[in-house]
Amino acid sequence: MEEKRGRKSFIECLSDFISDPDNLTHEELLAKLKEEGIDFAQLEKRVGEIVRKGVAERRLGWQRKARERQEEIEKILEFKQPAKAAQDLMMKIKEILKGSYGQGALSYAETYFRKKESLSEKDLESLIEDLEHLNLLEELNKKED
Amino acid sequence: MQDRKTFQVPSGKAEEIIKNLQIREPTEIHIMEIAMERGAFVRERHLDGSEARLVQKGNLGIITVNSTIPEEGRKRFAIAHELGHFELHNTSQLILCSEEDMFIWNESKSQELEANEFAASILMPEEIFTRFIKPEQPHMSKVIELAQKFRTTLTATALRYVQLSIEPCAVVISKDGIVKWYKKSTSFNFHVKVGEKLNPYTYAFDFYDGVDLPDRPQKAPAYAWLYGNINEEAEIFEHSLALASYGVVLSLLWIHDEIRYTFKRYEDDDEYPKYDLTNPFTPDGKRWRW
Repeated sequence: MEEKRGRKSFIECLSDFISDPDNLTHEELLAKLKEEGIDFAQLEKRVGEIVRKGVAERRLGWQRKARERQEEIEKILEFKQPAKAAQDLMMKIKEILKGSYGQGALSYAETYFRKKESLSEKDLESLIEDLEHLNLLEELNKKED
Repeated sequence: MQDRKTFQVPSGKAEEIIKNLQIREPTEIHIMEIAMERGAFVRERHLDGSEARLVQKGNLGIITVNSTIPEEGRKRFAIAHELGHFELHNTSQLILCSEEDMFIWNESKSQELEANEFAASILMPEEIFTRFIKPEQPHMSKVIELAQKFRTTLTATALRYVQLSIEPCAVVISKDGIVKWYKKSTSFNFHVKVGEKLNPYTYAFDFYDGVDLPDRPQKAPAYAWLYGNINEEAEIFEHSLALASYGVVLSLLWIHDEIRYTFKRYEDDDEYPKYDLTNPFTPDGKRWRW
């Protein structure tokens, strides 16, 4: 990668950091490091990699949090499986129509009846599960707030 | 979290999310995590009647994507499409989206179109995507490379490619031998013959004729693809790719610099004067200004 204008090189930074009292030149410092078995080019590359990785991890920290949240919700919902009997299903549809699933429930039902040709009984079951889980997530969020 | 429904332009909304989440590389576009960050939990289920669905209540949502979708790109697009509904449309809703809904690119003011535009923009953000497009002859192998890089479908990638390309190019979708629809770059100043049977002089036609398609762009007569009073000698580059399992042919068209002005215009119309462009002077003796 091209270095930004005016930006100090790694060896300059290292030299400044050490504040070498004997005023070793960069070349002398490189030679000393080499004597000690330190491959400076490798060191620079490795440090660069660590810094870049750290910066990216900090920049994308939200991804880790989102993954953790996703896993957490998966675990919670795993134990909250609604009943799936057909009779129960019809009851739930009636509940939706009555508005028992809260705001917007009627529009859910309307969509179901409008697009019911595209919904199988299994789809309907999992849809009701989604609706129930959504209510659950809402409660969880309220608690967390 | 940023308030939703602030920006109603789908691409603007998607780009804003990408910017706020500091995403800079294609490998960083994890759509499930983005959805979760925005308040929509994503899960996979077997769905019989739809590609994906969204149930939403305020700032919370559950996106269910059909687990039987075999391709990663299609699955990612379906999630991004539902996220588009979640970000752009009503705050309390149930949305069921079919595979056809993910193919709506031409209907104006359609919520499905908006969701598709959002999906394309969040999976292939302009700033990141254009870094990988060089000014070069549009080539289907480039589209394939980009689709792999961004983990997107070929169709969505081809559409994004022409949308952001500076070259005069277009992508055409044909199904069962009929030209269904197309999208073009801003510099492609012609219209493709939509709704018509594929012209036998197109390479796309060959697929339906049982012939293998060439793996490189080929020249085809421009009139075979384009509307208008077109010179019979005018040619256009065509690179067609068969999506055999869908019965679809994806054609990338490109008007090369040397032939883009060979189209006859107003030639037979007496209202328009005929100019000799090889003469450096206009009929009234002035020098042509270009």
